[in-house]
Amino acid sequence: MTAAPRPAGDDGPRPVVAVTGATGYLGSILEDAFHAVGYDVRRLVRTVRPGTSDRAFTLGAAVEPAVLDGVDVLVHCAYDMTLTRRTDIWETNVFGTVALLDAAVAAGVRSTVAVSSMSAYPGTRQLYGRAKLDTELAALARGMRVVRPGLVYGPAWGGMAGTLRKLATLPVLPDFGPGAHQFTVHEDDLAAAVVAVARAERLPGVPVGIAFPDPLPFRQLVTALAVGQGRPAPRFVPVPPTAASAALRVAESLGLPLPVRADSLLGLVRPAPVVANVDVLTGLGVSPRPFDARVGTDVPGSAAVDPGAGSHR
Amino acid sequence: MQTALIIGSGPGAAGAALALTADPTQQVTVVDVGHGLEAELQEVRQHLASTDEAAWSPGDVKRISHQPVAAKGAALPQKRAFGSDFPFRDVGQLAGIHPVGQANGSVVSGAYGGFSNVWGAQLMPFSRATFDRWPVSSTDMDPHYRTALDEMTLAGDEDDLAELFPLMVEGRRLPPLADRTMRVLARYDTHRADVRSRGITIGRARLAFRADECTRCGLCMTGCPHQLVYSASHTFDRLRAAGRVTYRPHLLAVRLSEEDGVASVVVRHTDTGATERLTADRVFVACGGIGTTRLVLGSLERFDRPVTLQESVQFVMPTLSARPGADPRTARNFTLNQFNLLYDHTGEGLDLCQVHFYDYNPAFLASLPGPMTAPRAEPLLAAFLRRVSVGLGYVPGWGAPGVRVTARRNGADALPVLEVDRDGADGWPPMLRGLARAMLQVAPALDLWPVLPMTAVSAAAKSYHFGGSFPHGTERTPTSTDRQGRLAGWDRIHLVDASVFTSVPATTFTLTIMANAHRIASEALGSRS
Repeated sequence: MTAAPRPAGDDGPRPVVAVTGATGYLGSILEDAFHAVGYDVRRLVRTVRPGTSDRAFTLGAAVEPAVLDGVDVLVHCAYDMTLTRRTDIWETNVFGTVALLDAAVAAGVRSTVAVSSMSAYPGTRQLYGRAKLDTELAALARGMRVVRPGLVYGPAWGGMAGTLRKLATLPVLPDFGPGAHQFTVHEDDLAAAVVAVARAERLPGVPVGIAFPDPLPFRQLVTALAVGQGRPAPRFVPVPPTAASAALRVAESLGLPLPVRADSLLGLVRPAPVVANVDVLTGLGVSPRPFDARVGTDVPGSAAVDPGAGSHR
Repeated sequence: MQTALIIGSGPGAAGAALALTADPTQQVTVVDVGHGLEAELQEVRQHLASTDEAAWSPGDVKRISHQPVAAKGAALPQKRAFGSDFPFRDVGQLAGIHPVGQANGSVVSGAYGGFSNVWGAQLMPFSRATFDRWPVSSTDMDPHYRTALDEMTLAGDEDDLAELFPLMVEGRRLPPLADRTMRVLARYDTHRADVRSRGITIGRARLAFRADECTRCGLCMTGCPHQLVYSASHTFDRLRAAGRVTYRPHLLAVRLSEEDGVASVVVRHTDTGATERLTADRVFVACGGIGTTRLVLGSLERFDRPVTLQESVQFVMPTLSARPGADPRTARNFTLNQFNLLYDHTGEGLDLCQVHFYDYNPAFLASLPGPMTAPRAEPLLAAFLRRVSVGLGYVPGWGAPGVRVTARRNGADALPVLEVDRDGADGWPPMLRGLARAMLQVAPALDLWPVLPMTAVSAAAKSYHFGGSFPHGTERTPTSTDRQGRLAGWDRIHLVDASVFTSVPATTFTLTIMANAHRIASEALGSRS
């Protein structure tokens, strides 16, 4: 992994970063981050905004070679979370990613960052995690960079963190036991880390975890999210994860709208045991901060989490 | 001139020789037991190779195409090469090796070219994730893999296997694949997303095989008359003809030592019994995983302490299809491995099981019960052969019990007695159960149904994929080697075969032995003093 993107900030033309999934929570954070350090951002999106540098791209469809013309850095965030059938997930998200990565190689993109997930860890049974592992292998085989963000949170409160934050306002929530935990990362730390990974001259060919390295127990996380919004801590009722997952699968099969998919629940209750290769991130000068549920709110008090409180290490 | 001495003539020795002979300042000598194919069989092979196949005498073909014979504790019978057992025959190198229980005793070859005279010819590198756990990176290995692949002549195509195992060099195209293989590959293409989502990847064979010269005579498994399948002996034939190595056969290395910057090897003449002390600036030891372990344990007088080698345990798994293909007996096919199935237990490209699938060859008939091959059973036999493939599979060495060897003192200038045993219980390793489950999940999609009751696991050391007795580590110790294959106390003696593997994955083995030996010898030349 030696591809070095052109540094930003010199007198030449601004380097170009292409971002897939730019309309999503992570993609929009990364779009802003690269723009802030001097890149021209080309959004690869399904629906192109007239008068912008957007290019049409649909994950799983054929990649038009021109979308990556002149691109220095590719950041691949896109993932179709609406799919639930394993064959659809692989056709679109895995094989679609491989096609994009091949297009990046053909276009001579100097640095590609495949955004994976903390759900991708050896032995995971989550389809999302397994699919991400397959895309990681494809990226690493091409000498590209792979990052595994933890649960991303920040003032925008999007993605899974935003969903959990809404759920935290409920009076009663399930307790999936002591093994359920998350690793969290603030939006700003995520942005700094991905930019650093993309711009690094040389990196070991391993996935780079991006999260505060101490696990945060699920109960503690949700409690902090409630308190951070000025709400009382919810009551927790023990629920076997398998029962909860089965109930969600039934609801999914009935087409009921759900805040969390059955497969995502697996990621919550059987998460990665550790943040992978944190030393690589440290070497790049990025150290994610501990979780603080008060970000983006005016609520005073203590919804920050003691960094040692959730540690299993 | 610097002097280099290589012990052995198998793939590890060939890898080291390729690196050493590329340096004109090296004077290279190979000492080897060097037993070869019987002269009369060699004559028959040469006669067939120089004759049009239409004129081949059935008697000649029969003489050099003996089918494999059943072996104790083996799921797979023992192969023959050109009608001979010379790769396995004891010409002194096996004396004092005592297998315990069902363990394999034929673990060291005295043949010129070693066990590469009878190997399966599969060529894939170890995965990147495997090397992540070695002190040698996959990037370090790449140029050495390329050299080895060029030497062995890769035949293979780019397909899904390249995701984990890049081709690295342009391969020759495989000959047309068998009908059953084509059917499986077509179904894989149709159901690729489903199959891949279960952790299974399928691809065409990758073989050390001059495929474009293949006449599809069907004798691959008993010895290609045209010698299109690579053997390490081919490399040494070439280097000897070019005057780049001096080859000394009938010598069995019995002791290694190093004093005052000089490496020494005591060898015993297998014909006279006399011993001789040879010296060199550097010695490269390539007697095979267990052969080298025995030589080193005796040289260092480490007796009565068991040493465990990892073994990628082997199993044989027949598979059947509901839909019949063409009768394979009427087709002209090459009979080496046709396609490979990989199962990734954890999804990170590390805990891989690999199954090499073979379509029909005459050994199938030899392994069937007599009534099935009777004339009246012909319809039944035809129906069976149109549906069967045989998978020869491997489980990673860290997912199964290893091979335990214990050296016992055996007098001066003699190899120690060596007991060979399984370091644990025989039987189905847990990873094989995981593979079986996954294969059952994809069986309807592929129409490839594993016959689990007939799946058999080989006993200790039967796979010939064992190593790691003196694994590469981050530093030299009495039991682990540095990246140049050197143990503590030895600066000029390099172990270059699988005995230095940090781990033994289930993926193909011989290519990495040759490439790693080439790397070690290259790095030793770079650091010579």
